[in-house]
Amino acid sequence: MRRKGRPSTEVEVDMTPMIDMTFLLIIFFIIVTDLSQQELEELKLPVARSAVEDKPPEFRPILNVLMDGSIIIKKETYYEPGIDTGGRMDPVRQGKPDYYWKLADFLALKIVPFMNKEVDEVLKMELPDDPILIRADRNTPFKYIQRIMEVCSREGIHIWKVELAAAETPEAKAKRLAEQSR
Amino acid sequence: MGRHRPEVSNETEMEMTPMIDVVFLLLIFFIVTLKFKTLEGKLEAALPKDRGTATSPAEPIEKIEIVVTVANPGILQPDPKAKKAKIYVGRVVNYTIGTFKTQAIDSLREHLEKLKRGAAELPPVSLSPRRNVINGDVIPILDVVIETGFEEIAFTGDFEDES
Repeated sequence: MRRKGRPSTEVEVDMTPMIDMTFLLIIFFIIVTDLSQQELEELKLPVARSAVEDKPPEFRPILNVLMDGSIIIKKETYYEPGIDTGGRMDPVRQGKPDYYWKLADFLALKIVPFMNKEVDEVLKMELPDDPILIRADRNTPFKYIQRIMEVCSREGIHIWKVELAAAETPEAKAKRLAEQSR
Repeated sequence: MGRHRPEVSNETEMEMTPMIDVVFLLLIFFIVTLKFKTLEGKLEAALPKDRGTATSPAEPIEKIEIVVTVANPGILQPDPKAKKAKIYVGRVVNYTIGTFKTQAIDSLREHLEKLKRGAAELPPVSLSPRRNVINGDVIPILDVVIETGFEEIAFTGDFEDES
């Protein structure tokens, strides 16, 4: 039985195309968003012509070094000016507080045990064969990078392969873009 | 009256609104977090393998030591070419190899090429950055050294104390 009622003014909107489009957009953004970029802090790298393209190995820590020397690995700070040393003493510098204990612990316990090792003929010792990437701002005083290198050579770490991140030169970038568009 | 038997309505009206809400939220999330992949490169270097808690004895091999010192630190100013970045304006850096001293990266390159031609065997190069040298001073030198064709590159020098 038909009810006598108000004339239906409601227009049925077909949602399907919109939902299709929206899903497509989402899928696009999921693909484009590179989660590995999360490890990279926002900083300005120095430029270098001879920089080789970085194909990140599976297991390599990225040490972001900010202008004030703070070290950030995967969004966690491992050194910052005025870090609490908790009374630890530097194993290399006699009588100095160990400001880099957190980085040293991280490298010795979380990184080095999982690195490939190779026996060095001269030293008759097993050394890690994998690199670390130091990604420092162009204005970072180099002493902070040297301190990281010093930590790398500590007992129980002995990382000797370091990579310094650099950006491509404007000319190289223009050339690459020209080649891509061709 | 031959009335049709009312069809059993299998169609349940789906409530679309919450799904569309969630989908839009997801979409906005991905748009906001989107950061296009920036192409970054790297320069490879090696540290002395034998440095432990003790300092290593001097190596007998002839090596090229590039000492980097700051002649004029310059003034830190906002970089006109990049937003949210700063740059030292008027910065001058000295490069010293033995008695050779220059402030231009190109003459350093020439000198290194001369040294490379004159050497029977490719000597190792060590970079020794001194006080107040920044990363942006060292990378161009490393760049030149790699471009010139030297293979063994290490960092040495006095590790500055906390200031």
